[in-house]
Formats: sequence, structure tokens, C-alpha cells
Amino acid sequence: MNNVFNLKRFGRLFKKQFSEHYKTYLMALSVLLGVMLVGGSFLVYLIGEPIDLSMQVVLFVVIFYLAGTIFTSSIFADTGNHTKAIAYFTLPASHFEKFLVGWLFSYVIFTLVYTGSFYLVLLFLLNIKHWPNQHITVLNIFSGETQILFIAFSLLHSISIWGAVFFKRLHFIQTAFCFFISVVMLTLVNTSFIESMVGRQVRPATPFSNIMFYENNRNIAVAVSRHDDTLIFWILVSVTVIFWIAAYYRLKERQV
Amino acid sequence: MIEIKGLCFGYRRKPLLFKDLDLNLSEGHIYGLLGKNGAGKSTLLKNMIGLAYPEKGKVLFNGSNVAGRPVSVLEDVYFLAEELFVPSLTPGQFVTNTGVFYPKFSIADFYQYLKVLDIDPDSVMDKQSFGQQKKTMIAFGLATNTSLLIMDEPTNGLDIPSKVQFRKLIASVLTEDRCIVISTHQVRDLDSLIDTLLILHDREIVVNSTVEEITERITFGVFDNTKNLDVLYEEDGMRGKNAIIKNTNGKFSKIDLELFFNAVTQGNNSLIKILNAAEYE
Repeated sequence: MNNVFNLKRFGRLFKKQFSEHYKTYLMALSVLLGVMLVGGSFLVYLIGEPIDLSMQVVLFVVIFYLAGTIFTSSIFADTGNHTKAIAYFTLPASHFEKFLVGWLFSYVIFTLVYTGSFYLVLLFLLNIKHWPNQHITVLNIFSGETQILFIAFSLLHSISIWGAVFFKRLHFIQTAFCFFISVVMLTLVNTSFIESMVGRQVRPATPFSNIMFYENNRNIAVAVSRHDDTLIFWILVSVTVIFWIAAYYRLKERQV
Repeated sequence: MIEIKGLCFGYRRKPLLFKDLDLNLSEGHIYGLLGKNGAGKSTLLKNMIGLAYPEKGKVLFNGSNVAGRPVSVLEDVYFLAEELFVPSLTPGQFVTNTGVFYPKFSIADFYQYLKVLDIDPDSVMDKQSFGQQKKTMIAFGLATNTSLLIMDEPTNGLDIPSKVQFRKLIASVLTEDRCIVISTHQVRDLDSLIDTLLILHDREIVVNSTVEEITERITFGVFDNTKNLDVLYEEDGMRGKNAIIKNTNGKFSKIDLELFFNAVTQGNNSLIKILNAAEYE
């Protein structure tokens, strides 16, 4: 049998993962629905009007990123637990198959289940009562503008997988800590670089963001032309893929 | 079957546990791996199945390097760890999901072993006691019918009747194509089971001899007085002096593993010299 990928063996691994964890997944889904429902109801009660589009985007993104990264960390957490790691690594399936099963559950299946749950709760909250003279808009995640939200999630997902495989314990916390420290460091370095380039003080800027400064009592932003968003898109995609590949190789090299 | 060549291994920021270690294990044997706490028994086993990667040297299983954990190796090796993880499934459900990964797995054997070890096949594994979990996983490991079966402290947590059943089962599953390695510090649990003794001490395998070779060279006995004997090692016991003496009359005695282990790990060079001489002859 192939040492890298075999469809039959992959199917068995997928089934094993589901049958051994489906109770945990169902519990996690219940918690997710509960948080959305209770939080959303409270929000509707507070604002007294239907949730507008920008708030829908914020809710979708915040819960998506937070739940997604926690779930991803938990899927690969077995590799950091001594007894579970032995069972995991000695199971006769390739590292690629093991990685792919975790990737499918934490990325593809999670995204589908999360999106379905979000719309279910959102539609319930929007129709919970009659809103006279109010225009109700529903977020369309298939529009081109929301594409970047999924790309950003992909990046966070890849970092979460890498952290879950790299760290031996407290995977989520350690990964989040490293992520935020890295963002701060990158921002400092990038800001210094921009300042040396333009020869003036600018506001802290993350890599590939706009240059912003204050001049003559006005905030001025210098942005690249619109078509250059493609560059940022491909950079994010590339970094995502690099982290996925790094996580896979880290899994292969992982010792117990 | 297992060929260890020039193995060097140490954990990060710690001294090497093994340095240029060589070892060959063949099918048709039950090896008992003994060593003091911290000698590196579990680490050596982990190197044998690719859970730990050597710094230098390599471990080959039937010619394949185990580092990298290739599926072809994992399918023919089963490792029973000292501490176990069991899912929230019944043994029957567990076997349905996991047995399929082992090409030679026998469901009939599994249920037979469960019966012998007195395990209810419908009990949920993570609700079982530690001893029951261990017995379930022993049954699973035996039913995989892998060529290499490695067990780390398998008798820990087993009650006395279960230890007896365990010994019987292990003896019954040994075939000419199978190699079983059992690591333990409870030597008395296995003294009638193992046929080859490996003692790991001071970063190397100081003894790698069959029980027959050992008892051919040395004699174990309890003596009132050892003054006129060529004693290699002795300890005071309840019934006199437990001693190891050179076997000069060619008669075989029953090996006292505990006594032998103590003699070897206390650096008894004359004893080791006699055993090594036996190996080279």
C-alpha cells in the first residue's frame, strides 16, 4: 500500500475520527449555537432594531475566527498529549492522511457548519419579530467583498494548525500569544521601514497596509491603487499555504 | 527483524541516553528488556517504532528505516504503551474503527482474548478501570497479529489472575514469524515467559543473551554458606544466601531474574565477562 496516500485508508481514518469524536463535535456545535442565539438575542433586545449589515459582518467574523481557531487547536491537540500522541502516531496511516483528516474537519467542515449555523441563527433573529418600516438586509457571504474574510480565516487556520502541532501544551494560548507578539513586532519593523522610506513620522502600519500621517490638521492616508489588492490577496494565500506545509512537516517530525 | 545500528539518542538539553548502540532482535523470540528507572527502556522502544528519531544511527524493521513512521512499518508493528489512551467506545466499536488498519487483524482472536482476560466487550473503554483498559488493549495488540509486538510495562495495573492469563496468552501467540519485546521492571512477572534477556545499563545493552545461554554459564541457588564457592554475586535472603556462581558442572538451574538484574546493574564485571565469553564462543 502507498506510504503517502491511499483513498481506502483515508476513508477509514475519516470514519474513525468522526466516530470517536462526534459527541464532542455535537457538544461544540450546541455551544456555538447557544452563544450565537443568546448573544444575538441580547443584542437585538439592546439595539431594538434588526441587526444591520455591518454588525452582521462583525458578528460573523469575530465568532468565525475565534471558534475556528479554538476548534482547529483542539483537533490537533492530541499530538501534544503523551498518551494520545502514541495512539495517533502509531496508527497505520500516513502523516499526510492524518493531516488531511484534521484539515478537513477544522477547515472545510467547520466552515460549512459554522456558516450554516450563523445563517440559521441570523434568520431567526431577523424574523423574531416584525420590524415595521425597517429595511432588512442579510449578509451575502458569496459576494466578492467577503472573499477576503475567508482568506483571513484561512491564514488564522493555518497558523492555528501550525501552533497546535508545534507547541506541546496550551496550544491555543501559546499560538495566540506568538501571533500577537509577531503582529506587534512586524508592525514596529514595518513602521520604522516606512518612516525611513518616506522620511517622516507615520502612524503604526501593519505590512501592506496604507501609510497614514497627520498634516495640517488633517489625517492623510496614502494607499496603493485598487488593482494592487491582488498582491495582498496572493501574499495572504501564500503565507497560508506556507503555514499549512510547515505544519505538515512539523507533524512528520514530531516525536513523542 | 529489528536492527539497531550505531544508535545515538538523547533528549534536548540532556546527556545522551544511548551512544553507538547496536542491537539485533530476531523473530521467534520473546525478549525481556530490563533496566533501572530512567535507564531509557521506554525511549529505546520508542526509537524502535519511530516515535523518537535517533540523532545518529538508524533503526531498521525488516530493512525499512522506522524513522518517519512509514505505513508499511506501522501496519506490522504494534506498540502497547505503559500509559494508555482509550476512546469513549466499547471494545467492539473500537475494533471496528481501528482493527481495519492492521492487515492481519483477527476479530475472532480479539473476542477470544477478551474472554480469556475477562473483559466485557460491551463496556465503554474510558469507563473501565486501568487494569481493564490495559487488558483490552493487550487483547487488541495480540489480535493485530503484527510481526513485532512491543509492550512497555504490560503487567502494570494487572491483578494476579490477569498476570497469569497474560503470561499464558503471550506464550500462546509466539510464532516463528513473530517477535515480542516486553519492557519491565517487575522481573518476577515475566521470569517464566521471556527467552532472551536484554539489560540496558549505562547507555548500552550490557546483556543480550538467551536464558539458556545464561544458565549454561552461571548457576543460581540458595546456599547456607558460600565460603567455599566461586561466588560471582550474592544477596542475603530469608532462607540463606541467594547466590550466582559459575556453572562448572553443566547443570541448568532456574534463573533468578531479580538477582541476576541486581548483579549486572551493580557493575559485576566478572559476571558480564563470563556471559560475553559465552556469546563469542
